[in-house]
Amino acid sequence: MKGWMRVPLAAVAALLLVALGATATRQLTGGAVSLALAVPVVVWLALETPAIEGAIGAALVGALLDASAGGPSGLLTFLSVMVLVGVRAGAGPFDARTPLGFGLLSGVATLAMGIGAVLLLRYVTPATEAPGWNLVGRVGVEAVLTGLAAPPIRWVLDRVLVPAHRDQPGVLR
Amino acid sequence: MFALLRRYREVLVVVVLAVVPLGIFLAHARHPGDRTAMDRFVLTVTSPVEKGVDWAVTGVLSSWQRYVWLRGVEERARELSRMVNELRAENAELAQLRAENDRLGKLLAFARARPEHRAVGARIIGTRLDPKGLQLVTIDLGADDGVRRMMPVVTAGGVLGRIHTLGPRSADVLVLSDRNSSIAARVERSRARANVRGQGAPGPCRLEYALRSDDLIEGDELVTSGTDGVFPRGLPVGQVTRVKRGGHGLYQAAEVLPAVDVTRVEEVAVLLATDLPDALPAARAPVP
Repeated sequence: MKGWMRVPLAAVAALLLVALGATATRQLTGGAVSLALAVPVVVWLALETPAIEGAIGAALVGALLDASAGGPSGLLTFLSVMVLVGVRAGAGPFDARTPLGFGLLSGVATLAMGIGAVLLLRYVTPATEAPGWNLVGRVGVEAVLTGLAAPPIRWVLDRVLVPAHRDQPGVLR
Repeated sequence: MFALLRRYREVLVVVVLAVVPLGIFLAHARHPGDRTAMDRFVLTVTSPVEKGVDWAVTGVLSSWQRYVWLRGVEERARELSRMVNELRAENAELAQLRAENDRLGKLLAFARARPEHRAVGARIIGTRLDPKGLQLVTIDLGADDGVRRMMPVVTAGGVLGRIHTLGPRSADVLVLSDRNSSIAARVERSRARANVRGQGAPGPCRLEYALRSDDLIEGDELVTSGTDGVFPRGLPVGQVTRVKRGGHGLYQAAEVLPAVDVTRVEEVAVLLATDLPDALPAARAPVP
């Protein structure tokens, strides 16, 4: 697959996963829990694509999340790119390409993204409007569920997007 | 310079892609409701896809729940069916109570509108509208309750009849459709007098002794005139439905649709009159 096709396809996959996650949680739990099914796409981009391609893809997915979440613009775009960098930096110690490793990494990435969003929002918004720490529990549940759902997502992405060959794996290589 | 940019292009791209959105976030964070043009564009593009996915997932889950995952559905259906039956019975009972309440309310209003007459409420516990005999209904009040012969019995709609025979705890009411019932009446519009006599069956009565010269037309309302010594004046009796004037004779004939349908009455009021005749005066031409 051509490298330039991987980015828009990743964005489309993220869009479908966001819609799927929102609908499934609404139908099955009435919205009591949430899923961040686009985060495994960012993790996959971090692991399987070159830095520039992955960063553009992560920014696209983040913009998509920003638009669908309805929060302040740019927040999730920024955090997606940060997750990409974080995964590339942190995936070294263990084999993130196994289902368990990928699920674990996706769960941690979801947790980091959620906590990062809470922190940033608490930092910039007035105290009366800032999200409370009670949201962290919900973010934890979201991280666990996303981690569980991540391996099948990886299986699909491997077949649809096809991993790129990385000569010199590194944080920004 | 270009070599430097080329060398660090990955770092630059990542930094730009991180810093620009962060800047946008910091600029817009205090007004989270304001969507940027980028957000609006993304939403415009992605909304149809999200709707499509939502439609597909909802359809699949709905089909699964409606056609495949039917565990416990039979028990639930039985339970719901039982509940529906109970609620239907309860609903019917409530509808009956409401209708009864409405009727009693009207009866009470009728009695309150005539404070000069003391009245007691009674329920109809039996009907004998046999064309071969008397047209009677039985009420659940009798002599022990202060009811006496000839007392007028009314409903919210008007005159029903008068007390005919008495028991200690019940009484028979001779209804206005009985052949022996003759009620002195007056045309509400023209004040012309006549008698309303039953014809032996529930339904229209006959207007008697209406002078040929009296002003009487179809649709005229008839009320009691108070001249028979039984019914106080002003109670609705019925409506003139068919006027027949022959080529000769002193009187004109007419049919009267009673104000009260004797087959549908359930609650009545007995007017506790004191100076009543022992028997209904013989039907006679009303004195003009």
